[in-house]
Amino acid sequence: MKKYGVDNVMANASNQKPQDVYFFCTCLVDLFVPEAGLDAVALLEREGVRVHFPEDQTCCGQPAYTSGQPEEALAVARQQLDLFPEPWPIVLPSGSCAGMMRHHYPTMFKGTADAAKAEAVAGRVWELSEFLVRSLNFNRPDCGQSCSVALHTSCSARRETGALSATRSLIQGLEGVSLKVQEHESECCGFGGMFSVRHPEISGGIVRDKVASIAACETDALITGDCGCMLNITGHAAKIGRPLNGKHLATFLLERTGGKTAAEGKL
Amino acid sequence: MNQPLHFVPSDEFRQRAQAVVENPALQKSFRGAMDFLQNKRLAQFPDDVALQRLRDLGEAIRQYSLSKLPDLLETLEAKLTANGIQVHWAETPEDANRIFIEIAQAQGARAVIKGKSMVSEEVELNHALQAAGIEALESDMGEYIVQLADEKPSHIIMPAIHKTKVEIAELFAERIPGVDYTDSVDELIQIGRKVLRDKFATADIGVSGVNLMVAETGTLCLVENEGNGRMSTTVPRIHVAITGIEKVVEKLTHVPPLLSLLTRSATGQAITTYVNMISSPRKPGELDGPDEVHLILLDNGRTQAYADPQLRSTLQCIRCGACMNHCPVYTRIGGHAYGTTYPGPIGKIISPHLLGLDSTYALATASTLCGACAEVCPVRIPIPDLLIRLRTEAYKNPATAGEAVRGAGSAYSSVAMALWHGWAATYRYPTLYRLFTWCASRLRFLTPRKQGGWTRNHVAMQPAKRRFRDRLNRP
Amino acid sequence: MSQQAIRQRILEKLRAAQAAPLACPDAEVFYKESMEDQPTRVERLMLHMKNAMAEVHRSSAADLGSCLNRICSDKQVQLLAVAPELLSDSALCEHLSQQLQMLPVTQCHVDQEALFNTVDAGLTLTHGGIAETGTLVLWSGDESPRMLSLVPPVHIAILHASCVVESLMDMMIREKWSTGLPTNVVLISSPSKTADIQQTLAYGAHGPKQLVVVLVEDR
Repeated sequence: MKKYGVDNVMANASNQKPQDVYFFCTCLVDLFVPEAGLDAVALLEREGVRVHFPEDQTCCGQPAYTSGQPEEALAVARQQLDLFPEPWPIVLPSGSCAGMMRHHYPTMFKGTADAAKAEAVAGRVWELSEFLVRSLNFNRPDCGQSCSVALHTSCSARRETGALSATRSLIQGLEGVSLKVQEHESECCGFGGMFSVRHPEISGGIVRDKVASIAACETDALITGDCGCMLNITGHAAKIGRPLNGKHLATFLLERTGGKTAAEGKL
Repeated sequence: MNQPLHFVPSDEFRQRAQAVVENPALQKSFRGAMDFLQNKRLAQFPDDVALQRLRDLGEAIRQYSLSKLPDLLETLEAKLTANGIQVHWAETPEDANRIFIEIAQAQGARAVIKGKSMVSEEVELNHALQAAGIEALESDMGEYIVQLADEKPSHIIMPAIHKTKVEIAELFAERIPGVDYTDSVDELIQIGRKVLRDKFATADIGVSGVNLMVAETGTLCLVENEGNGRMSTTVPRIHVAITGIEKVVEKLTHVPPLLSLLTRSATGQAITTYVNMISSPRKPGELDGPDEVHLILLDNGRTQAYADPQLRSTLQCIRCGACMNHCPVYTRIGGHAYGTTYPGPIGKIISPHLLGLDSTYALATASTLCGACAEVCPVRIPIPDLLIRLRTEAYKNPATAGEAVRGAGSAYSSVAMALWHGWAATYRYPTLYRLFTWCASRLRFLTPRKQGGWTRNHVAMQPAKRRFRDRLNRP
Repeated sequence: MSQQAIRQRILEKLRAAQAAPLACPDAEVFYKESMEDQPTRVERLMLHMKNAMAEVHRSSAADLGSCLNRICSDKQVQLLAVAPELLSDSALCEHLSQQLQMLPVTQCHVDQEALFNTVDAGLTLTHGGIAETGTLVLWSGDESPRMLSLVPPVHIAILHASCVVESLMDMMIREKWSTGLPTNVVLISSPSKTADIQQTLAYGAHGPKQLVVVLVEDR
């Protein structure tokens, strides 16, 4: 059972560098932000890890779960449980989906025939930045021009994984990058999945303030490890005519450390 | 006139929320107030390890107390009765008000002075007293201000948090006879003090809430800063306390950790100015204190929350308000938009039990589930999990919804259900999923430009030309 | 429905849902005995109280009368309501009465009218003090009325240094509070205050505007 307000850092970090990992790209990345996923895979492979992509993956089930449709969520989540037969780590380029699989799967599947399987999967789930830092000891020199960035850490990443400190340390490890702290940085961006559609009045108020505080930092880019938050923040910024240069952490890290990114020439 | 606020339709919730979000002055004042309270709380908990240990203890004490709730209530009642405090039980707000009015009428009481009590707001006691021809005056400065303005509290700890100094200055000048405009906070407080002092001295009954009740000693604990709580429970001849049945602990030694969590989480104080522990009416030979002390124990849906093992944790709450102080939604919409006595995250999880899910499910959906509330909750109520549970109850098919929560199934819609079925059907079969996402990307030019609530705040979302799986270079 | 029936219904609903009781948490172990010596503990209490805008003074037992006189003259106290518990100290009373008028509270009821309207300050003893939070503990009783520490604009409280303990928990356990409490126990940690108007702190909301602590060093 998840405990709110304690450090949810993975306890089972091993000292041995894994040879193989599973990659769960998430439905949002698959359809809307493929570059983030491709750059994450490139980062992992460059560290000498074999990345396995189970073709039958779809979605972690979170949209239905948080919308009060546990049966639909369970049906979709169950589909993912058989995708990871080897005891390899499962890496996700999203704190939100990682939090779902790590913390909510055990609760969701409790009492079902798949409970043990769900527990086993949950125990191997990693958010990307956390995996890079704690399992791969990612440490590559920065080869970009000096620049400044703002960071947004999704609430799931912040409270359900150890991504907050991992992301910070990854960015701080880049010599030419100065990390600017925005006002109310720990506050939610107002996305909340279906919430942003169901309650646009309130969601709009929260993202309005988030965009304003990020814009006030006047940085070259906004970095986040969650595409949901990124689409929310940059989508609003674009709507009000103050576009922000949003980048997934994987893309930013790859580009700063001399890798070739998958970007198609757009922001 | 205060209007009863029992039923608040969800579409009006959205309108009220929108009005606040679009009001820059209110936005500034809520943000400022929340920042203030967050920082004060943070300063009280410099040692995170110690904080987590104390939260563990607070949670354990509350869970333990709830696990023995009926026994503790009986012990409490026996002990209070032996101490000379009269105990009354109320299942509904109507019961509570009737009991109160009977006590008042038996004594020919005309005037009631009230210390802060959210449960008295919950049963709309002022309204009932007014109808019975009994004057009820709020004495907590914040409560006095909102009563003067014919409003309701917008925060459980700081009732007038939505009002600026200038608004209060104008209100005082307009509504209190013989008062000239002043926006000096000290002067405003002295004006309130003067008006209310006369009332303390002449009221027949003092009303209070209760923060904690101790079963083993038969003690009512109240925390406050102003002294109005002590006034209300000391000066008038009769003291009536009103509270929910869940506020009981077994042992006196369970009080210090909960008190410490309460005051530090609420207002960032190591302790409040006064902690008032009442164990009996005035005894023979004592020189002051009320001759009669009554306690009204209110159910009002709490037994419903109690009956469900998951929802029971709602009753762990010690009403510190930290969840609302840290809530991005509360910060944007303030307390009144919710339309319920208890706003913010705690309001979202307790109100369905008090009022039914049919009138409150919109509140449960109005959350990003960010978890800031659960992170600060001093007794570790897993608020986001409870919100998900309440959503689940609301969207169930009414035919099979069960009785865990009154009003379950009230948000059910066959269209929405069909959409979710469709979604699940697509996403549980990899072939269908691949086909669907392949079409969505290849036919991206067909993506609607208007995407409901999303495009109100954002540019439209459009699938990528080629999916991740198409571009991933795999043999 | 009758009171009895409502009570039954509520209890029955709770009992129907009640699961096995959990283990009783031991709150006492959380509060470790502090190794601090008494003078340091007293200093901590005084510092907390000072920071909370209470006025703190020190006096020996012998000098208490003149110390109180100084405080009263400084605050222009003319009519002082004295708790009966202090009236047996005839030396002290004589001292005080040289300078100001005392409203001895000895009747079966306190003189509420005077307390609300004419008394300048209330003088009380305290049951003890709590160092952790900077708190005075007052127990009500036949000779210790509750309104003296509440109604007049100034509350002067006499605290014996030997009665200062580390925490509320400490005091509860040492003094076996669970075996019985007086009508009223009140913990006081500052003058009456409020931040209900735009989070601006103001003193003297409904209780005393000033809290004066006189620490009596017992030796």
